[in-house]
Amino acid sequence: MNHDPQDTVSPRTIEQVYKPIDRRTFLKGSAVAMVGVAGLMAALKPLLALESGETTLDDLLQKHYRELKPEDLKKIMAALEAKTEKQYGVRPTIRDLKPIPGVEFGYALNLTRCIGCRKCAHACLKENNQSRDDAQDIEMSYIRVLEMNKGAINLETSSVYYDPETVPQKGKYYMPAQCHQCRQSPCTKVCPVQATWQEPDGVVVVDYNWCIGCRYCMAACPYDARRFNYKKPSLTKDQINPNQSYLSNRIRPKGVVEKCTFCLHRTRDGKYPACLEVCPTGARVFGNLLDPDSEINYILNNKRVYVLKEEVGTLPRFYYFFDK
Amino acid sequence: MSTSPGKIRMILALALCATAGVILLAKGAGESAAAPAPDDAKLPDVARPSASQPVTGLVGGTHLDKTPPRETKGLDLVKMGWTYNCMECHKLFPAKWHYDRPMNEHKDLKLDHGNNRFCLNCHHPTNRNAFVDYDGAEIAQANVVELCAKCHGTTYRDWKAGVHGRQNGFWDADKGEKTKLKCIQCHDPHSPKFKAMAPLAPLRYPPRAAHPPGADHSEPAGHTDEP
Repeated sequence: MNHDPQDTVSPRTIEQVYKPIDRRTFLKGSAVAMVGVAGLMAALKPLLALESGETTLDDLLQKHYRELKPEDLKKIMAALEAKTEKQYGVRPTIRDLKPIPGVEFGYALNLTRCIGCRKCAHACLKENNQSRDDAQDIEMSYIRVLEMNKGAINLETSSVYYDPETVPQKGKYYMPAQCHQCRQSPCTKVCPVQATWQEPDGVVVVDYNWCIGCRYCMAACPYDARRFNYKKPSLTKDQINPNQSYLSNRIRPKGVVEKCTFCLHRTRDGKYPACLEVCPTGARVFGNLLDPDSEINYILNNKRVYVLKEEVGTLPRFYYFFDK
Repeated sequence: MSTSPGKIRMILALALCATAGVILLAKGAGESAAAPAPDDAKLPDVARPSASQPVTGLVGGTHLDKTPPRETKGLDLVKMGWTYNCMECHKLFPAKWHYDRPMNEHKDLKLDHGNNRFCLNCHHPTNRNAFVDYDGAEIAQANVVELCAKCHGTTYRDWKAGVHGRQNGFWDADKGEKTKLKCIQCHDPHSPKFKAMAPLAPLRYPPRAAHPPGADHSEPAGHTDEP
């Protein structure tokens, strides 16, 4: 009798038939599931913030600054004022100052005069509502003063963390660096969500409610002018500067990239920026590039002017100059 | 009852409209009152915060330290309101060219102004309340800039253009005025070189660079003084 292989029933165990999950598979599967759940939770985290009142639904659904209707922006600014009042106890005046027609801002800094006292950097902290009480908290100034060795403009050998008894030190000179408000700004080109752009008066601004904090712009900036805020500013009631504007010094949400805006809440009001107002040596000169009689044009026409990293082709609106 | 339900409804609707109007008006008024931003150029006229807002925060830009760097001495006392007449003493003491031997007064003066080492280069020989021009004419104390311009012509030119020395206030002449500092508000005329000053605390950005390894200065980066 021939055996038809079809007829033969191989002895299969019950485990082979029902394929129960063995321990290893179970652990693998549960690990994958855990990761999935964690990912889902992470994705839903904004909703938790929503529940706690940290963000509102309006924040999540808010449009880009340049697409907002004026009345919507007004509402958003009122909500931001209320939020600041709730968190810090002071109700600021948040305004939306538009660029002045016929004005393009330019800034010049006298390298012969600067003594590296860092008064500008600290005025920047105060003006822009940054934490400043703890020495370890002094991070977010948009101005970084570089101590350079005399004889060359060599950024490689410069130091930002200098802290001698007195300045200026022998054999050193000082070069404060802040946003250069470039005409060909690399930072605005790399932004994947177009949260940063150049205004008609030359100021490069960030919509802090639109920024996703990816920090591409920081990588693109050749002047190291952008700052990522790792934490909420620690400020007391008396330290809040109530003169705020949506695009500049309002208290920004954590996790966005911030930058110098030439203090547009001051300068679009006709005032000088805060860093210029405190400079003890008068090394800083600010004005309208389109006005032929302005101070900045006097510098460009009469002084020896130096453009930092001219070779990268960013065409900055920030100039360094020498007196002698 | 004489009034119909329809009439009552109409009256109610009218009353509602009126209250809404009042609320809207009040809201508009509040907004227009809150609109002017604090203005730091005219400090005494700072807009009072509205009643709902406590007087806190940095009102009127007082957070910016705009004091000129020179310490108050000598002529600055005049600026502060201490008016004295130099001639009360100097009508007795004749003009002296050399500042060479210790005197009773002005001992604290250390003349360190380059080659410019004679009192009467700047001070008027007969009227000590004034400064002297090249031709012997008097320059009033208030016009001290013209005295300095006698030698520092290029600096004077820059100062007039608003490029030497700090200016405060408004860059835009339409919006407000700018204030200029005079020479002696920053420079001590007897020792005009800028004095070294203590720097403020360094930045800790990025946070992990708070104590940079192999920093090219021997001092520890931690700055524990006041911020």
